[in-house]
Amino acid sequence: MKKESLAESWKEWFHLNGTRLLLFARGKTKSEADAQDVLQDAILRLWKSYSSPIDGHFDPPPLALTYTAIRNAAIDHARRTNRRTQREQKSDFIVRDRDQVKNWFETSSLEQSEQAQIIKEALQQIPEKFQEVLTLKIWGELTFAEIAENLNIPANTAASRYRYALDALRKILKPNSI
Amino acid sequence: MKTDLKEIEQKLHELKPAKLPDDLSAKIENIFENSDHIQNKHTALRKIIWLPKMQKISAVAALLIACVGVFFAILNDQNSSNKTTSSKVSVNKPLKKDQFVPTNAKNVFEGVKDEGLFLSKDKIPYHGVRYQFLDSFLWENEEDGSSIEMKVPSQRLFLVPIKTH
Repeated sequence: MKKESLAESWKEWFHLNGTRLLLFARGKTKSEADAQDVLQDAILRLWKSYSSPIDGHFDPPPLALTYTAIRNAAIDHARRTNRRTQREQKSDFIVRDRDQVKNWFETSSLEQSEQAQIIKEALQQIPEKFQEVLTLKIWGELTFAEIAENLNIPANTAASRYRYALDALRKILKPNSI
Repeated sequence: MKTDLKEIEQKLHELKPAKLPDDLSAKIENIFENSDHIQNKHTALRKIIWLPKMQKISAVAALLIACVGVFFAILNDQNSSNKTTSSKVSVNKPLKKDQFVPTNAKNVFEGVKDEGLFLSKDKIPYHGVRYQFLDSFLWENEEDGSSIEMKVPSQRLFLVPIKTH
């Protein structure tokens, strides 16, 4: 496969999946800049592993593997950031403020935009382990079996976490409902 | 599943992840396009990955050399053992007739002799005591009953330090 067509295949794959991958990265990081860095890092790692097709055709990386790459990149990024923050706090440098997180969801009206903002904030409030299962299930389009494999947990646990996540969201979004 | 949960699930499904920022798309597409640049890095990485392979090859080579060494050592041992057996055969056979076997050895104490006082270089007084022995060894030939006896006188001098207050 020629380099040009290989690059085109990668672009096509990224156009199809980029939004959901960024959404997952946003859930794993604390700022938009971090999420973008993590996504780039993960894509670069995947590209290095998958860039040399042996039999001449492009096999896109499986989504589950891509999420794992993002997860690992986020962990590495968090470690680096922690070290940097500690270093900066020890010295006299000022730690930069976290940048403003952009909209996580596509909206066409003001009402939708408000609702999307509320859901985004609710997602940020629920425990991370619930949030990642919910993101992978709804927007990542993975099955519970794939999520379980990805997170190295039993499939039943993945399903339970999904229910707990929905329940936690319900408590935040509809506090008066039983 | 409760109606509320289904409702929330439905709401979440309706939401679509936001489009990627243009600058991010451009950066990531740049990764795919700049394949040459990254390919070089990739090759460099591969060089690092090759290191364990080289180590494996060198380990196998070392193992092979060790095996060859062991093989020759065994071969050498066999040769030397063959030689020993042959020499035993050649030496023992004619000696068998006149072979003397040690049958007895004695260490007989004969007496003590006072050697008087000694003064060492660091001026410590010693009392010299000489013990005299007679060591005797006996060999016998089983074939003809002849025997060889050897008596060797020996003496040992002990210097006992004298305590002075």
